[in-house]
Amino acid sequence: MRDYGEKQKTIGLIIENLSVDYSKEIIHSVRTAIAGYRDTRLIVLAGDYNMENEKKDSRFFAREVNNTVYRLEEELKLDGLILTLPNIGGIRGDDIMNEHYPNFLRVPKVFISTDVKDAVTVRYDNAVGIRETMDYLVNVKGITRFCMLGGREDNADAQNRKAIFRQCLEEKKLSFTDDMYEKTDMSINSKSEAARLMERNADAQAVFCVNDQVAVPLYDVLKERGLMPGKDIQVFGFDNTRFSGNMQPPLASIGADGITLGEKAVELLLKKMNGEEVQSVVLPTRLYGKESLEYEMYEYTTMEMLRIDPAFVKRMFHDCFYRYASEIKDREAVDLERLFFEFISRMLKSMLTSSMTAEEFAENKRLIDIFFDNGAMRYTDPARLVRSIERLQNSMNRSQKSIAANQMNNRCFSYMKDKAILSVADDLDEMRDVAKKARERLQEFIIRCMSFGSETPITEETVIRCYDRLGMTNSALFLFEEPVIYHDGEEVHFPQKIRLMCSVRDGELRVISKERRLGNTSDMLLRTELPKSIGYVAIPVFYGRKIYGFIISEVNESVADRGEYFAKMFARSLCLNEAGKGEQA
Amino acid sequence: MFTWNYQYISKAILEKTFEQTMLAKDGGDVLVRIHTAIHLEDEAVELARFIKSLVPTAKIIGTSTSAVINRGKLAMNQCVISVTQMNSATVRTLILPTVDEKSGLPLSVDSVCSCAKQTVMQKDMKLLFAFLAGEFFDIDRMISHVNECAPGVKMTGGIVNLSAIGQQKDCEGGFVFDENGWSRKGLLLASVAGEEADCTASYATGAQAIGDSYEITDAFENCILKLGKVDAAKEYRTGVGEALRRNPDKAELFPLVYADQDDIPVPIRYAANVSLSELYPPEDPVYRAAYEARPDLDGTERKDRILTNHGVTTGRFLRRAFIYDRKIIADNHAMFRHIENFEKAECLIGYSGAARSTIYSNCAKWELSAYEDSNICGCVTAGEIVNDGKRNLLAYGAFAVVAAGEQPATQECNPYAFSHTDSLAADNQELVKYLTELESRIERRPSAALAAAGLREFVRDCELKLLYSENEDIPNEAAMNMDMKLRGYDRFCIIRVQDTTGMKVVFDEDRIALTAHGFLSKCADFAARHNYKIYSLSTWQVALGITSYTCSFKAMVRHMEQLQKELFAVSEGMIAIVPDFCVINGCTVENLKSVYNSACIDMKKKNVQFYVCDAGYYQSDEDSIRERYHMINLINYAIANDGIIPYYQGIYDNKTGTIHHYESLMRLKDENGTVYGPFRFLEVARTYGLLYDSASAIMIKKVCERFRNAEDVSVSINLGIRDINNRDTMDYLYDFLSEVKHPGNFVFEILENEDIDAYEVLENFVDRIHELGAKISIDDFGSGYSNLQHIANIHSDFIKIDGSIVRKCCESKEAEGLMRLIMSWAKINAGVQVVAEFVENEAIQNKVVKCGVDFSQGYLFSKPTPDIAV
Repeated sequence: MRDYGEKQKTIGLIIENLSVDYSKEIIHSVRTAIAGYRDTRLIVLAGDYNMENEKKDSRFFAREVNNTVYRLEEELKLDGLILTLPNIGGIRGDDIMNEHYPNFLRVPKVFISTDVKDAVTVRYDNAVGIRETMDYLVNVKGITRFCMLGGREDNADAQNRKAIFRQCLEEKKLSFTDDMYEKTDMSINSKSEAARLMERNADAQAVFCVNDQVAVPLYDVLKERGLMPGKDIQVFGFDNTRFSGNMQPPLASIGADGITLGEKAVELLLKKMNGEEVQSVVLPTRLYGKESLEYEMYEYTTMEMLRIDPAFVKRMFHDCFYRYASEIKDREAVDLERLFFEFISRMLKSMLTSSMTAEEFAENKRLIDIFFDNGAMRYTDPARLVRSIERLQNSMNRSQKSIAANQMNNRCFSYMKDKAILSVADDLDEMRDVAKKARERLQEFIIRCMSFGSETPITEETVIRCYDRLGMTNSALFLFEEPVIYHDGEEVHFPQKIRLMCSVRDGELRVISKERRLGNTSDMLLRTELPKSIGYVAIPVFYGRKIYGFIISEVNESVADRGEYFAKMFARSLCLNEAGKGEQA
Repeated sequence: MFTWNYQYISKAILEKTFEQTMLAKDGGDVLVRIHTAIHLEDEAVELARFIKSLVPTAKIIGTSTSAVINRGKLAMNQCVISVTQMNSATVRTLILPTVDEKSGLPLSVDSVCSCAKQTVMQKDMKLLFAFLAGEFFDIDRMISHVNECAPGVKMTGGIVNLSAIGQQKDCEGGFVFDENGWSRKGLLLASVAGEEADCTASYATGAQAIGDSYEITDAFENCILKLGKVDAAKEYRTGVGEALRRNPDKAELFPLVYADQDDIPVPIRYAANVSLSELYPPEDPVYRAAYEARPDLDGTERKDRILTNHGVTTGRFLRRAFIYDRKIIADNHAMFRHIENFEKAECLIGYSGAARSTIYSNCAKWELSAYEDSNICGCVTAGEIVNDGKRNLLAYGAFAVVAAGEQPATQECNPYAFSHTDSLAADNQELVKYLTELESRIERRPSAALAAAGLREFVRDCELKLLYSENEDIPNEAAMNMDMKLRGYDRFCIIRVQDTTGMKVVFDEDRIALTAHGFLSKCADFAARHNYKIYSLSTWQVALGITSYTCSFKAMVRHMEQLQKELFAVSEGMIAIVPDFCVINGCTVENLKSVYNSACIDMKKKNVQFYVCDAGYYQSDEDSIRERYHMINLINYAIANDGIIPYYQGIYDNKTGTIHHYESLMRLKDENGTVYGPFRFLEVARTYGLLYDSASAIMIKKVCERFRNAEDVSVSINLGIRDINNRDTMDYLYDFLSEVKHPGNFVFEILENEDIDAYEVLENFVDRIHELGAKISIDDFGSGYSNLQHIANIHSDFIKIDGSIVRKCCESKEAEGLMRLIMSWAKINAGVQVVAEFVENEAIQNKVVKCGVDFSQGYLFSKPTPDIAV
């Protein structure tokens, strides 16, 4: 007799919203952390937060239906949970712990930046980063006129940041008045608030944004007022999200100093799952200076350069590529950090030996090519890199011994700068291409799923055969045998069985034969037909009140951005054809 | 001329041996050489006298040594006696003092030489033995004297040393002796002359000079003070690394050579922080004159020094030397051929430098093994006199062989010896390791930049010598290891062509060589095009490497697929080959070999020629290792502390609706009383086979004893192939069944989840069990391991349908179909009854009954429990 044991552990990540940058950042860091553990994988369940007092329009209902995805947490029998519900937590933090689902109470949980009594929570130490920034602005830059674009009243972090901001000002003998503050809903739809703030504080020298998102409308307002962030006014945000580096100009932001929220949460959760006692943790933060607020974290000293200390080159690398530390290190990819060390150390060495031959120069150029061709620019913004390179270049020029070698070095530097900008431009081009292709594919999907009466009957099967056109390149489609109907205010119960209709692996569609489709809803993640991944996201497929099923997809940037939209397009096609069937009948 | 070589054991045996040898009374002279590593001076002389009394005509020469060479073997603590009977040649021997007895001052070389000329040297002299004891004599000059006045005469011998026996502390101060006495400051000479006599000499060092030459600009005695105007010790250290300060022994790895003798190394001793007066006491009369001649020298200054053995004179040029395996092999090959081609090789004489063994520890053993079948005799010396074909020279750290004779003769040498170069390669690995460390430690300080550059160049030169494969211009395995360690090469593809021996049966050598060359050059060409580094591991095996910081693994795999296609395209005149590709990520020196080996096994199993794997994958994670050891402890504990508990699960008769019999299942209990199921420990127990054996034996006995007197209830016991192969267990079972009242109550379930190679054993077992009246069941039927044909031969009484089929029989038509198939098969084979396991709910039970299955087992009826009423 043989026994069947399951070794794989599945961790759920519950977040409020899939497509906002803060969530993407958390998902990314949790996934990065999980990659470091064997036999562990992630399923992201993202809902949509509804304010209690909101108008009951279709947007409200769409969110309510979408939130049924949280029920999967119970169905899938997860081994551990990470929850980041900063907004909900503020209101009904204590309710969360009193939820009546038995599995929820049983599984080990770790919260991120969420106010829940007696729960293990990971949060940022807001004070360190804000204080560092304020000290710098007041003591070094001599700035006295500040204002702040704040967050929601019910968000504990936002309130905490406001309090620290206020305290810092008072410590510096600068008074805080209500005029200097404007609250927002912490999303990019805060333009009017930003405009009001700038109206009241037309002479402000620095603006603190409660998170990176609200800096977007602030930038618009500043531009309208003819102010250039970084030059005319200092702007800094919080969370140091990836997209803060893509803003124009890149936004300085306060972020984790070392380990990120997601990484720490995973570490704590896994310990908890192993039965260890864990405590809540506060993570240190620091300011990541970018163009909107120039701030140098390190000096490049001549002594360090001459020593070609690997630790020095490493620090320089992380200074230039400030996002690298928080990325998954793929064992099979090109090791950029080591590569950077290789060509920088060769350049530094040429300073010592006062010579760089043409061959050495060509080899260095080759290495630089490889460096940028393998996506180095994903980890920084060009402005930051160019500045860092120039700083190094200037220091090297100052301490150079041989003009000939130095000329070669300068050529290397300018080559690096060119490559940096070129590769960003290439990426942009590629992104545009990808977006265009995605649009074309989606259009084809819609056309193929259109019914033109009885000559072209469209069945569920036809729609499924077009599934790959949505462009979710690693995903699987699960549909219930009959759609589940959502009733206002009632608890939704998913059927025990669900059909796996098709899967897409690396863009290749595989329609599952009818006999094999049916399986237990609780076993969705165990199906072998799923594309291999360590991080999945479950997206509900619904139209109106009908919940058809779920798309389980590998979690990545594009799915976070567009997955929900694709799922809705798909549900719509299913629904329209159902309606058509009704007419024909 | 004829030579006998004996190991000296005792005088009595020696006497007998001489009798047996029956030296021709009226023949030519008899030369007796004694090399001893076991005698003190007076004992040695006594031995010489004893031989003289046995053979009054013998000319005896003797030396001390640290190890003797006899029949191709190097032996410590032995004494070897070599007796050569000449046909017509004449021998003269003499010991000359090199120091004036009264004054204690060295005698001049000229006076010693003229004395030798009158006494020892003779007409038609072919071979001159010369052994020097004590260092106060310029033997180098004496050799050049001989070269001048007796051109063409081959010399052999050297500076004698001593094994560290007896009271002598300094093992370098050897002595020479004959029947008349011994000397620690003397020169022993022996000449062989005769019209018929002829001899040839050759040597091997394995050394090669590298880089620039430096002039000795200042020296004192054997100490080199300045090389090319700079401090010699400092300069030398630059060449071989700062590590020398901590580890002066390393100096021997990198000797020097004189520029005019490219391949004869001068071993270097590195002495840290000593003064000249400590090395050469000024009060010693020998040195007094030297100090007087150099009033400018400060004898008390302490600093690092380099010392050599001889020939230190200002004006001579030195180069750095490097001893490495390929040169050793090449040198020995050349020497071996030289000796082989000599026509009158009646007797072989060999002297090996002591320094040689310290540099390359396996070298002497390796090169001597070629002469295992010959009658070579000699010893280890501190310095050797060699002959390079034109003249005689003094060398340190060489292996010198002389062949002599009067009539045509050949020596039986062992031609296969040179093919076993493993021991040398091992020494080479050591050397590479040292160079690797050296390179990684090369100074980073700006002030040391220049010295470091010189050092780097030297290391690179050495590497070039060490790291290239023998035939082609391609780096070898040592280079690969070095690149892995120093340059971060961690992605490798190992390409191997298999079954090359089969090729030789069908094709001629030229064609094979052409194909091998084509294979290699295609790979090398591809590597150059795509920035890979290529290493030749053997003729038919190469590795391509790249760093993880210049190429992603995916891209590498793509490249290798392309290369495989290119290699597959056969060009004319070449043999079609199928190379195996194994692409490995995350290699280190430590893991590469083991990963590659396991990959090879996997490739063979699956019969694939292209394999991709990650070295990290083969490392078990901490948790599973911990779990494994936990389980081993648990099993051990259970065996020792009665923790093996049989559980019983009832098997339900679908016709009568009662429990028909019980299956016994093994459980383990730890010290806390926690009970473990088999899936936690069975795998571990199987990998540690003996653990399984003892646990299983206990289990079987417990179950048998419990049911010994049972009347109307039967039990089934699981047996693996291991159990059936276990004699003790089987003997117990057979005995038990033959004495028990109702053997029919016992059913043996055979687990077929291991590969069975001997079905005979299994069938034999089944027959025995049936004879004894017990029953057989086949477990996990349909699980994929069971071979239908064999199962048909087993004639089992029960078969148990695998749980995976039963579980699914409600959901899947195919599973149900399989069950029905098994049932119909059972029906045809009347007498076979069927059990369904994993019957978990009513739905499954209904289906099972509907299919006509006789028995059901599962949680629906009963869970396994230790307590049943029997």
